Amino acid sequence: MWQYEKKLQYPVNIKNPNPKLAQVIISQYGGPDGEANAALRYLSQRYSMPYDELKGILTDVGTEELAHLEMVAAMVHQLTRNLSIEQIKASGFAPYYTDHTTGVYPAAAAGVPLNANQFQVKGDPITDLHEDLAAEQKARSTYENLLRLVDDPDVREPLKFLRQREINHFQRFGEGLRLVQERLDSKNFYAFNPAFD
Amino acid sequence: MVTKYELDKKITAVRFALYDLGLYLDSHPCCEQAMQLRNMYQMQLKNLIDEYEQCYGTYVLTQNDVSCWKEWVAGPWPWEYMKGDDGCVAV
Repeated sequence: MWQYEKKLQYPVNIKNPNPKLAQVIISQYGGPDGEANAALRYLSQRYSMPYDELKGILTDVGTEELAHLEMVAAMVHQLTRNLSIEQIKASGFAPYYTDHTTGVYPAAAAGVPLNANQFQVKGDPITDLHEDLAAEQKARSTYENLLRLVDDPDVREPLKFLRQREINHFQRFGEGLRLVQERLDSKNFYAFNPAFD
Repeated sequence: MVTKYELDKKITAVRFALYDLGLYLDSHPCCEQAMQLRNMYQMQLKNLIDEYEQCYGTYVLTQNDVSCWKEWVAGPWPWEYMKGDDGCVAV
């Protein structure tokens, strides 16, 4: 089970609303390499993971991704507060505004809604961990792309924190993959599924 | 006296260190150095929360800490913008 903590993992306090940035940052909420997909991927992969350390890593990282989801939502929410219709027209925010006003909806920067087709739960620890390593790198790239678009330090600081966490998670998953490989049967040269075969 | 905001920031930082060490320990459950570091941060956290509670009342993090439900429901909620240099005034 989970319990809500009434805190963000890292503070988000954005003085100047900027709907242009909200439109691209939303991608880490509901986009292909966003935090919602990350949380669902890791928390779902736990059940076919045969090793305790990996169950721990997937639980803790999956939970942290939910905290990141809340941080990204806070950024989008604060970047779109108190907007006038003139600002909406001038900033290119009108298409999003038409469907969601200033609510926070899980979609990619280009407007494609959250989609579970963007991640896998293969039920094979080695396959799943390789996906997780790739996912952390893809999210890191996305945060770096966003950082190139953003000058406001109020927005950059939480983005930099989130980028660093992707690097940390990549490291933990790398160790996890090593733990799984070390435990493969010595006859299992081709790394058959240790959760099934 | 340390401001509520400063204390809260310190508590958040120490709690993050504890979480991150926990994540490391998931893949290194026998690492004594990490456990020692974790114990140190746990002591620090306890002291910081004591300091907070002496100055500002109960440190509410989850519903388990709540004695007055009106306070739990009252904003600011974590995603809301806080005005002022010390980030203390909800908008």
